Amino acid sequence: MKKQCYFNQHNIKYIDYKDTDVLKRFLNPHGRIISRKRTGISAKYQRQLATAVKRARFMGLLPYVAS
Amino acid sequence: MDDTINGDMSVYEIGYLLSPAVPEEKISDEVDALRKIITGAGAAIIADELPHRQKLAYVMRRKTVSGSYEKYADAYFGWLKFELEAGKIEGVKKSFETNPSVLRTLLLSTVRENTYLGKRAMQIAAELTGSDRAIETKAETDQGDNKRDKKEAAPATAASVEDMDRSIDEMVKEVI
Repeated sequence: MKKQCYFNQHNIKYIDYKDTDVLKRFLNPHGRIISRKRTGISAKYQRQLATAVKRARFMGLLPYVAS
Repeated sequence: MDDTINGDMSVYEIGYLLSPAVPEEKISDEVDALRKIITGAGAAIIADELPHRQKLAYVMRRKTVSGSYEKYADAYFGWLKFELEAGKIEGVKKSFETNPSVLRTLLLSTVRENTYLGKRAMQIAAELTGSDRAIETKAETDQGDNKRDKKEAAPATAASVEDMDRSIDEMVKEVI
């Protein structure tokens, strides 16, 4: 069965870098962004997600590398 | 981009980290100073969140005038969303960056409507929907175990379709 896009399902139009609880779901235990293949997010939101994660990392809300 | 040419109003958001050296009771003064920078440039503040102290995900370093580094393991994180003429944003950004108690800033051009989920995000994150569970199990297992993952993911997705519908309905109600 084809996985549906998380952000479409939850009616989230813009991914905000401050929503770290949501962003954390798409990071692996090392803090790396999980690929689209695994997340099942649409291309549009995967791009937004990547930008948001990188912004959150810059502001110290998410780690660059998690041990 | 077109805004720069037209000189139209654009919506911006500045996220900032205040140095933990600032005492808790003086935070409001610092915020007032930052708000003054923005309103002084002719901006209208749309939304904001007062800085709250939090642990940073990694230790930040900032070079001091003497050449040594200051290390920060925690800081106050706050943000301001405002509307301003595109031509004036550069000045605002510079004054934020030169403020000694501001550790780091992040300027974004954004949209007027609310993008921050806040508490709603916690609810959404707490809901372990089928698809999310699949992400977690997949992330934790090796690539070689893909077949097993698919088997695990399928029943979980089927079971939580109703839950998902319900949560979406609730969200729609909240919005209305």
